[in-house]
Amino acid sequence: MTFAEAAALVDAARTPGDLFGGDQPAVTYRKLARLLHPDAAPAGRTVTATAAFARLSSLWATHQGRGNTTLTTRRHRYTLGDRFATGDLANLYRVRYDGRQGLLKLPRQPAANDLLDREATALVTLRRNGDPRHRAYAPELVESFRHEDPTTGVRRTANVLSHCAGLVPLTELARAYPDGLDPRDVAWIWRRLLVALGWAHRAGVVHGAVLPEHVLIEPDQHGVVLVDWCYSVTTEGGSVPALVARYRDWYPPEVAKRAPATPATDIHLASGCMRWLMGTGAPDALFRFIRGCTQPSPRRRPQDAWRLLAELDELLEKLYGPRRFRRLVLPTTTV
Amino acid sequence: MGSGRWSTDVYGAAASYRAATGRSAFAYSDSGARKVHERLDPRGVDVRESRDSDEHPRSTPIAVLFDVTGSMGSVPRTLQSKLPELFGLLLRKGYATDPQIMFGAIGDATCDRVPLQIGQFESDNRMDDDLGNIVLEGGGGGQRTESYELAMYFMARHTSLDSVERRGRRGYLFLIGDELPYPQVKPAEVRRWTGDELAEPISVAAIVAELRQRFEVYYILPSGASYAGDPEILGYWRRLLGQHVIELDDLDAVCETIALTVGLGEEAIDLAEGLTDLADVGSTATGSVGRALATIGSTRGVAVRTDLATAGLDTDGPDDGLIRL
Repeated sequence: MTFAEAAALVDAARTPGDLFGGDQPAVTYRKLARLLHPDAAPAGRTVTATAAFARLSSLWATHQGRGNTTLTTRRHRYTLGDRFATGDLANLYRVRYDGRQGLLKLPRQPAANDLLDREATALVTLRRNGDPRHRAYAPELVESFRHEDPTTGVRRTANVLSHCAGLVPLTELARAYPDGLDPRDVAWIWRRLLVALGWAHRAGVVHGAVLPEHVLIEPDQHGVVLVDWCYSVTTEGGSVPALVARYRDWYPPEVAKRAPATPATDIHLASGCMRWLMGTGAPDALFRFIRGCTQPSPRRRPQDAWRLLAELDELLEKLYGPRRFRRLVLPTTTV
Repeated sequence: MGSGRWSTDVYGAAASYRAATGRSAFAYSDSGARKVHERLDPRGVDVRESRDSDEHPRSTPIAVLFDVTGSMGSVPRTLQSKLPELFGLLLRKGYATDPQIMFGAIGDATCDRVPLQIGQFESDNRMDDDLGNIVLEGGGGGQRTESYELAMYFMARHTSLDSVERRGRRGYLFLIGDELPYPQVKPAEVRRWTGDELAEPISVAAIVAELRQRFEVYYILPSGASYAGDPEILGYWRRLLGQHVIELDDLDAVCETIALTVGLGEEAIDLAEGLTDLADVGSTATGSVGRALATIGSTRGVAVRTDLATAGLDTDGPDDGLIRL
């Protein structure tokens, strides 16, 4: 096929089916795209090529399901909903697939693709290596795929995550209790968070950004879900790739130095979150405990979240006696 | 870097000039140079960059670094004669938009005088000059290890690629060699050869993870090299890079292999189309290339193409509140 024949073919097509009705629509698309791409156009035909290429892209996009707000990948067909949240680096949209709810996470800048890749790697590693009993502590990765803008060639890594309703980030909890949360309420969050970390660390994943927005709780059931694994480290000796700017001061020193991230990095960040949640009236023993977990040198911090959990339990028993379930009431959600 | 046009004619003219005068294409090395050429010296380099420009609006950075130690035998010279064709091949076949190619060489930082040589990303005949200025060590430590980790460190920390930053498309890095990396990037070697201060060593796995933020990283083990087909060496690289390890039984096919790998990565072609293209230009390497790329071609996912705005997906929002480390 020549350039002129390809341009005529695209010009004559009225519906996507006219071009892509054959057995191998993707092969047809690529063949035409190569012929018609403005970069490859014969001398003097750039204008024709640009117009034909744009029309080809648009017909191809329609063929792939655009227009009825669905996104079709190899594995699923997602019906797109509205924007659910705007994160540090990505926008999250509600999606439905196979009768289930999910969240589509799309980075705003393509330069953040590597962070979405990290999240996908971490969630897959947790599934594969982590104890299945604790899976609820992290969202499930439904799929990670590449999205390409047909006109600009910009590629983004998109992650689809399972979605559970009714979760509240620690930031909202802090807003509901501006004078600090009762340490006994902080206690169960802390315990669950250490379970989440212990589980992840055993699977070989350091979260790298245990910050208030990334710790979600389920107040009635005392659940904790650790989200946003974009900053995670799954490689022995690897370092955290980026800091969340507004929490810059919360990070332990090894992060900015690009030194290896270890379980002690997460323990430091988690302890900071707990200190921030508690009112100043909390027992000194708890603050001392946190100080021990937030030493500047990672070697002086606890290295193992499971063992730290046992220590915390001992301390809590000493302070408050045997564990009892305390209902956590969020003023904003009781209406 | 990366401006200018590459011309087969200029390359052809330079090659026949060298042939006529009896000079080797590795004239710099063969004239007895045992010091890194200034254009290839990694010391004090901030970044080697691949930039978009009016002339090349969608740059595709491709780096090819090969082992120049003795264990590679005559491989570096064969590569030298084959690699200049790479650019023409990419352009002719449309496998990548605006390719910008960098050449470099890897030696052994524990004993070689020139363990790391890194050119610039170029889209004209300067890349050929870089290739000609590479010093061939011919030594090596003889311990089945070369300083690949030092080269990977440089590529991870001292490159800046518009394709990644603007368009989310990773560049391509091909390491061609026959040995293992040292297990850690060592602060003393980093200081000596690049001038950077590192607080502590970096494990190879960690530097590969960092490198992969910018590059699709491939390791090519050619036949004719000392350890070709060595299961320990192949196994090591496969643990590090997964399916991005290519055993190549015909070194003459190195350009085609690289070109097709890039074409597959860019989704410009599928493997069958690429092999047909090769046959069309009279290449006899389709068998080797097909075998080498079979695993890569069959497992690659296809990108979903949709206009985001029409689908109701915005990419607007606050500036990313991130500090990159």
